[in-house]
Amino acid sequence: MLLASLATGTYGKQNQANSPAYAADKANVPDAIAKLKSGKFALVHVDMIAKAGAVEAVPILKEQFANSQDPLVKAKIASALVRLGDRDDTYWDLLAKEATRAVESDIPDFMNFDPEAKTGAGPSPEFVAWSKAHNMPPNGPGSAAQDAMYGFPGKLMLLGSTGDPRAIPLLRRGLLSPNHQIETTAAMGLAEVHDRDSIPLIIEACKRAPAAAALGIAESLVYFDDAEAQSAVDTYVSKERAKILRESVAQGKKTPWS
Amino acid sequence: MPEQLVDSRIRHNQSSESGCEIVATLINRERRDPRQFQSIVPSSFNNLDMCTRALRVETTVRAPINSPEVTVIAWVNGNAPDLNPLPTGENSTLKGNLQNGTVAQQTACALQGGRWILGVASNISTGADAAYANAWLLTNSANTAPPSTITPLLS
Repeated sequence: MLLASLATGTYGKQNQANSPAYAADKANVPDAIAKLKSGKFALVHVDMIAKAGAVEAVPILKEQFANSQDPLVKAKIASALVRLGDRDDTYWDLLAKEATRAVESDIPDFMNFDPEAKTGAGPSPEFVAWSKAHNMPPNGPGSAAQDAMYGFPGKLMLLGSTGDPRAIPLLRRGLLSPNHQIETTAAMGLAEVHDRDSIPLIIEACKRAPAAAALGIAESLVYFDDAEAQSAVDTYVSKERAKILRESVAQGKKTPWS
Repeated sequence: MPEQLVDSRIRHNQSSESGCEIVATLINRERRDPRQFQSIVPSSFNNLDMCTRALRVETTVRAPINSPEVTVIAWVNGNAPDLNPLPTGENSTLKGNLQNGTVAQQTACALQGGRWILGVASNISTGADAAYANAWLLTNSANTAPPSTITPLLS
């Protein structure tokens, strides 16, 4: 109920099955701007504004950035402002600082990628040990699991979502993370900014990773119109999954987070 | 009237009082310091990782004003008829990302959820996609049903 409306932006509206979802319909961008202006907005509204290139909302975004005390809301707005071309270093610096925390973290995988393990569901033994060493609860709200699964990958995603080439060095560092969620998000971010020079680095990351993690990292390569990248997709991603992803690209999904 | 804590997630705000009933609003949002209500509502959602950034959800409850005690129980019912079965017509990428089998599927699922947490309506193109995603999230965030008998912790 909670996350669902946040994610899909339905907000109680009855969507027709074949009509565009709220966030997918550019006709709703003025509504998103109005919500932002009112102060009663969700992150999906900020995302819609950024993706639509609605630069007229920049002053309102800046105002809400200043008003908000929520670190995630501030980071999301900062990401949108950079994507919309704002050159105030305040926003870029915030994103870069947070992403640096993510790539410098030694937090291990929450999921258990050991092929010999009975289940992949976390927490992995490495993660439990890490949490204990850092005196943090391994699971639940406010735990290290939040950082490992969502917090740190999210910081890289907000950076990569800007589409700004300045993100490339940090995203490449993310490919070296001991945490495969961070690694996968970094690869997706490099696909988001269309950094073809990173293709060999992403493939190297696939080679280093356990098979189950390599699959996720390699999915980023679907978005590159490049023979080497597509070949790696065939190596690491199942035929069925690759077919689904390529079909979505053919239908207009040009980047992982579009 | 200030909102009062029912448990760590559910708060109560008595919004009005007429001659014959109390109208209260249950508000589900972020954690706050305990005040005068004790926990009766099941303490947490099962999928904690997916529900830590709660959107404000409200429901209105009406009760006779002369009731000596009113207990309100709210929970996410994973067995609700509109969730079983899940709606259909969703795109295959979305469906593929919301599987819970192998560790690779679980990883993809976490990444999909992570994108939604950040407000990216990734892989939600149509109303059918949105309906499927909403129902999937509800089903996988369900609480256990409350007991049939409630014993108040405080008189």
